[in-house]
Amino acid sequence: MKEFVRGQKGRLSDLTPAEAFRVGVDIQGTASQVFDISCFGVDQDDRLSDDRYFIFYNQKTSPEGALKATGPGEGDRESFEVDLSRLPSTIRRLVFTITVDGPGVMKDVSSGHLRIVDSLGEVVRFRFRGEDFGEEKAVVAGEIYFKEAWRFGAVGQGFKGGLSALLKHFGGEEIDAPPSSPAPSRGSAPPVPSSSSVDLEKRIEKEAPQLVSLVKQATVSLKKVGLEDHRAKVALCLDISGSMSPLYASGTIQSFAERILALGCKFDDDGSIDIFLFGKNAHEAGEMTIGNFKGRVDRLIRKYGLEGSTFYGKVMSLIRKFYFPDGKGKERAEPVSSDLPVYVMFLTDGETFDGEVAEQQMRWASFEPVFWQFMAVGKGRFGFLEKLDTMGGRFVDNANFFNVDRPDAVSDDQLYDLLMAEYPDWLKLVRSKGLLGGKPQGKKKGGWFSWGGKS
Amino acid sequence: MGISLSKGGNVSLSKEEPGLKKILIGLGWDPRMTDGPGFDLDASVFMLGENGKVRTDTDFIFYNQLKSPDGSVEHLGDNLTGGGEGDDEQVVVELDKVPTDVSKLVLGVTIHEAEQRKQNFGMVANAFIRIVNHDTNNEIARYDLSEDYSTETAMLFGEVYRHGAEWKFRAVGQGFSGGLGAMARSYGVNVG
Repeated sequence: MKEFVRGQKGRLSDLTPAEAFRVGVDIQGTASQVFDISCFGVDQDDRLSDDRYFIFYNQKTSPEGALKATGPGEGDRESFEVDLSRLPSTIRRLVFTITVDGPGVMKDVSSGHLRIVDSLGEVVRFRFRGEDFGEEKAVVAGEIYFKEAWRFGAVGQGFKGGLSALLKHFGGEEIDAPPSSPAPSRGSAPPVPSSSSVDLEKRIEKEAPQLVSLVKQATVSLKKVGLEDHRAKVALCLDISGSMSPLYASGTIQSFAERILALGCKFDDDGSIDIFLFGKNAHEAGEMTIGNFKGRVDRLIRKYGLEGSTFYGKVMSLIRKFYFPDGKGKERAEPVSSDLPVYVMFLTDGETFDGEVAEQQMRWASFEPVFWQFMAVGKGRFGFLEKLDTMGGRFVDNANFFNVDRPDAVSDDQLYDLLMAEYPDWLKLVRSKGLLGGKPQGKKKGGWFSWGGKS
Repeated sequence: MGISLSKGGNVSLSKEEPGLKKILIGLGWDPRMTDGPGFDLDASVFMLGENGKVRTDTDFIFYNQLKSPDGSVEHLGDNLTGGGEGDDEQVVVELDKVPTDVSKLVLGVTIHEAEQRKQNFGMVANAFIRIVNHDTNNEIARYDLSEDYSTETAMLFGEVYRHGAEWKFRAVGQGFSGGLGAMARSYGVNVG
């Protein structure tokens, strides 16, 4: 059983092999102190983007039951049953908080703890005392978060502003509840992302004006091929091999990503695109949205670094697993159907080291409604990509490839036309073969279910 | 080739970074969002002779002594909170200008007043230290301080040392207890 000190972090797998366990929180204060213990399930950007994952006394379980507040017992004032395997992939951090209801602050408490207990017993405990705190009225006791693997952190930091400040920190609405009464209005929902394209347009005008002309340009190209009301998930897959360094350093890739984000704003009602990075390894790098796109590529490169080689196959498998989790990114010999197609914009400056694996991936992927739009930059050899047109053994022809000197060598309208060169025909083909418009498969990110068979 | 290192990682660069001439050491972290004293991380460089100690006190480059007299090592300024994107503190080293009797540069990162403020790297969000080949912009190595050094308050990041006519980098990644003063003293600096 490990003891963690404040600030200490560690991999969950070093503490327990379990994916399902109990988190117990206890706090001992003065006789008159009232505490609320809650769990915030937040996303990649530390936002409570789905208020159904704020687990507190008025909402004791998350929709799929991966998080459950089970009440006091066994030496803990509150417990949470956590099952990481059932948690949606959008929830990346579980934050366990204690708020002081009514008068008094955290330094008045005598002691408390947060611990993780699996089927064999307690695996880790973070103990704290009043003198560890000051005037805080709400603290994060600890968190379980995903960063390349699930991890546990003993936090012990908080806010004088109490629950209000906590909610603000997680991007929710500041609420006006009087501190000492458990009013029914507590825990009112933070705004849910808008699902109408008119609202998205307004958001773009307000929050991302530099995208407005790109979106207009994309619309022109989409209208030409009858896709102005089309819906799809858009993924941007970026080569992070060392040779790409000058393009990243000059901001060329950021500009390119913004052009793809504009396409995402047409195809996706939340105006977001999923980013994947590949070099020697493949990485799922979160979303680019109209809220976070500025400087995003730079932040991602700083976070992940450039890598030494180029493997298309690994990232193709990762992308397939992400959108069609039931197949795990592995072999597929039967077509699978979904409501929404996936458009992958795949940018590379070099030949892949794993040509055979990539070919195999291409064949397996042809049974899924995912379109691979390859853009090769520079004067390298692109043997694998050149062979795509004549590659056999696929359920449908699921890819297109063009080569440019640099991503910024084509104008916006030229680019969007190039991106739509084969996609519309592919859409017709996959619809006729039953890959689109059938029953959705596997786990869903928010928003898919609202798009039954449109376009 | 950016490598994410955890404790004990080792990178020998004579092949990967041929002709390494100018290094950038980048230290970054997120400002504190919760209540309490802010997080003030500091990058330092110790220029050591053959005996593993500084030749003079001016061989210690830190927030109060930003440039070595020979101009080979320059600290671009103290950041007290971590505000700003990317690297929050940077030190640039021009290897060609390093005096011949300096055989090694030791790179350290410390939390200012860690003891008084009761802070460690784990409490700081997204703290990292990295070394970059300044000419190619290639990131040579990076440590995630928040995740992998969570209980430490200071650490020795790595050493850049002479190897014949070349320079090499050895990633050390070792926690250090006692703060910047103790670190400096251990390398022979006269700390008042």
